[in-house]
Amino acid sequence: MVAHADRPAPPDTRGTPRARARSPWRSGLALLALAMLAGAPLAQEQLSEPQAKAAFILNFARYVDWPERTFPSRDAPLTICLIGRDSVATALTALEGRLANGHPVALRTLGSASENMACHVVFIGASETRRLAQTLRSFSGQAILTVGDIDGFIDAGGAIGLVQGNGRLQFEVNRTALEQAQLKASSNLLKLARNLIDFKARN
Amino acid sequence: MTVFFRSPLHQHLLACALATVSAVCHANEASELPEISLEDLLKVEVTSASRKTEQLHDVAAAVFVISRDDIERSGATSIPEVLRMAPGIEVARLANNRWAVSVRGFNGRFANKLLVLMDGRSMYSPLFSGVLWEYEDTLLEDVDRIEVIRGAGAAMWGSNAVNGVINIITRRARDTQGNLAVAGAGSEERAFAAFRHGGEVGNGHYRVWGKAFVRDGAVTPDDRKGNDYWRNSRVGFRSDWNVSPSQRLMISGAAYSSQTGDRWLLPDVLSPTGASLSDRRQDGQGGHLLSRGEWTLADGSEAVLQTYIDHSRINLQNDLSETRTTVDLDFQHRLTTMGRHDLMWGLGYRQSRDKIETNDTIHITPTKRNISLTSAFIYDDIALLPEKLRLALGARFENNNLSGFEILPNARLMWTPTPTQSIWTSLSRATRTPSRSELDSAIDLQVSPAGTPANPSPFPVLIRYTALGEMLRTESVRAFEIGYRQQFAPSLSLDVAAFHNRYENLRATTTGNQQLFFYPIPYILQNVVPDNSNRARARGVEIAVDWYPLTWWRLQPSYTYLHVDAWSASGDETSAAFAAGVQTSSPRQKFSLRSSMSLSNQQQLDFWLRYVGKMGTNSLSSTVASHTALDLRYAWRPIRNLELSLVGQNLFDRRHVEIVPNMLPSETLEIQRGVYAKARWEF
Repeated sequence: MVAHADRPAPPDTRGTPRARARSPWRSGLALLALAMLAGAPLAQEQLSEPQAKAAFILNFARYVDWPERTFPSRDAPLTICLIGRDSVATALTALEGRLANGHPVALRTLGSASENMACHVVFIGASETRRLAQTLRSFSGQAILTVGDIDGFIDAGGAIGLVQGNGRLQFEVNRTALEQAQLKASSNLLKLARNLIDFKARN
Repeated sequence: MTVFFRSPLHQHLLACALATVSAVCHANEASELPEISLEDLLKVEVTSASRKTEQLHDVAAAVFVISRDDIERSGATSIPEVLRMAPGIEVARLANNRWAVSVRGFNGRFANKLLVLMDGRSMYSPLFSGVLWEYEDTLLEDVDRIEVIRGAGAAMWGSNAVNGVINIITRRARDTQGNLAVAGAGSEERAFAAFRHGGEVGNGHYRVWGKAFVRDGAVTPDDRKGNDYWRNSRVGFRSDWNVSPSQRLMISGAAYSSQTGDRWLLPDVLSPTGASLSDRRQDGQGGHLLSRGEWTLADGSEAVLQTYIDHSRINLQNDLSETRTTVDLDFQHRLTTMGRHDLMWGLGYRQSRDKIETNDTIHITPTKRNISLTSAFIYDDIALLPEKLRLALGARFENNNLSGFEILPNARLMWTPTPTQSIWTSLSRATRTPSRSELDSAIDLQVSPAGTPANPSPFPVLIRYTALGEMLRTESVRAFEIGYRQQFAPSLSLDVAAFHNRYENLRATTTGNQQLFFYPIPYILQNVVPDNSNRARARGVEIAVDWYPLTWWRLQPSYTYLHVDAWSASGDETSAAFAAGVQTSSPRQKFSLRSSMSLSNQQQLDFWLRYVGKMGTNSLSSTVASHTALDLRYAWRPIRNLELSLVGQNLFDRRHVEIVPNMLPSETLEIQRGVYAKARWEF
């Protein structure tokens, strides 16, 4: 269990910043030293961004249903692929073997979009920024959940985009992209999304 | 403690907190990922030193990105103050309502070698060729990021991007839903308030916003109150629509009204000191409307069509009034990758019409000008070795009805030996087109009183900039740059850039003819006329580090070294003095250290320490001493959607001068220490 945002704040005993013309350096530095000492015990629960991204990817895989034909058997692996270069690579290895809807997670790194065989989830790495639309196109029409955190990811046709907000990660969902990939997202996933976009009555 | 650190994750984080270098704990991130539900993940604070470097990893240019978080935690209340974060940028506050901002030298209120864009709209004023920062603003909470690109960017962005480009990018309407109210007050920031509302419409989202503020004036070195008050109000909107899966549309607009004050040392032959003080009021109104359509075409290529219209009025009491309308059209097309080639091309057209009426101190003729600019560019990014070595070749072709045809080429090479290391180098040429005031104005600069060392004659000498009918050429630069980036650990990254620039045909002033006048008293009029007689060489190094010593503590030091040599190719005395002014218009060294501490989910404590080296100034031989400034910010969230913060600015000294005005004869002002309190409520 991770601590909640609503945890009551410890009393602030440090006083307000005050700098006098007489010895501004000394008072400034003393204040900082005090702040650091006071701050240290308050060190809070945080994840590195790659870790948080990996944890999101695993959760997305658990909240989405793939067509049965994409799994040869009940305990066939659910393959998470990474295309391009991204700092999430190391953190992703922690997912190997974990279960998602009864399927053990397998990992794969794709050299290019044309090798997309047998992926269930594809994370589009930061290095694909310049050819995002093109990369996304190469996965279209297949039962693949595309996830990424490139700016404008879901607008370019990606299914789930990770976005930063208030020092936290949030996600947005493109429902049209999910439909086109024949994926069913649970209502819980959609409820937790910061934004949903879809293209009503078009295409 | 045991309550906080009971799960494996918490124990791991405790180990991290105890380890001095957090590289140690990030090494374990592969094996130590705990099971966290989606609901809880959304509440976890995330540290992201790597994000910025990662996005920049394969950009072959000296880029620094200022994120929304950086802006919020700086406590800065205007765009120029925010820009102080970027290495290589010089920001000097002339007064509480005016700034001088430049990149890699050549600073001044009308610093002309830097192009600034907000959501693709140029903020560069053709009147003074520079940015009039007193008119450029937006709701800072709506800024997604500011990309500061140092170096000649003309091949991509067009002329005037001589030393750099600043791209201010606002958030998508989708990301600013709900309501936001901001209010605050303080000693320098007298009062400010802002409101934003975001909602949904059809297949898209919108936001409307408004802000207003009143700012106090600064003080003169001899303790008089400055006349640099500032009252500003601004409204705007932005809407984004996903018209279809392959088509997106953005429309935005804003309108503003701004009253600023200034006090001029008006050149006066009757005054024994050569100047008489005169309070000035400067009014500005304006607005713009911008639309951008983005298409993903059937073949996977991407096209963008952007168009905007911008209208502004400036009224400088008694002296000058300018009405300007600019229309801009820009098209870009990125083709699908063809083998090793990633090709992009574009076309642009801009027309800027003005009407300028002037009086005595400043005189501009003709009163109307119509500047039109046509341009085309092509850019090819070639993967020489996949994922390892890339070469980018590009050029822009521009035709300006005032200065003619230019070719602005650029070549960049990028080598990424490992996923965490990159080395790049670039060669480019850029130009700056002469501004309306350089080409068409006559401005009284100063009076040298009679019988002084500078003017031993019995008559006062009035020095007047006179550019009536002179032909000016475009200034040009040939720039060589090299850079290195490394991500030592997810929590530590380094970015270094060095450059060597050679400038030709820099606009200077040169000694013109003399005339004797007898009214109101006998005086000598000494004309100085513009020419392209200055040359310069600039070199420098910029270093930026981004480090999380602890998961909740971020440190961002940066260092800038700059050396400018400028000289006159004509040997004329005035031209040589102009070069000397250019040479010392920016500090040689600059250091900045930003610290952001997230003490808990409810509390943040941030400080920002800046050192700016000493510098001389244009024309007036005064020197500005070095200064060190400290800003502090403490923020507290008593409830989830409410943030209260207290910000202290320039805490180290009671007041200091940052730059001495040039060009227009404003009086020198000292920037004072300030404190303000702010509340931000999202609902």
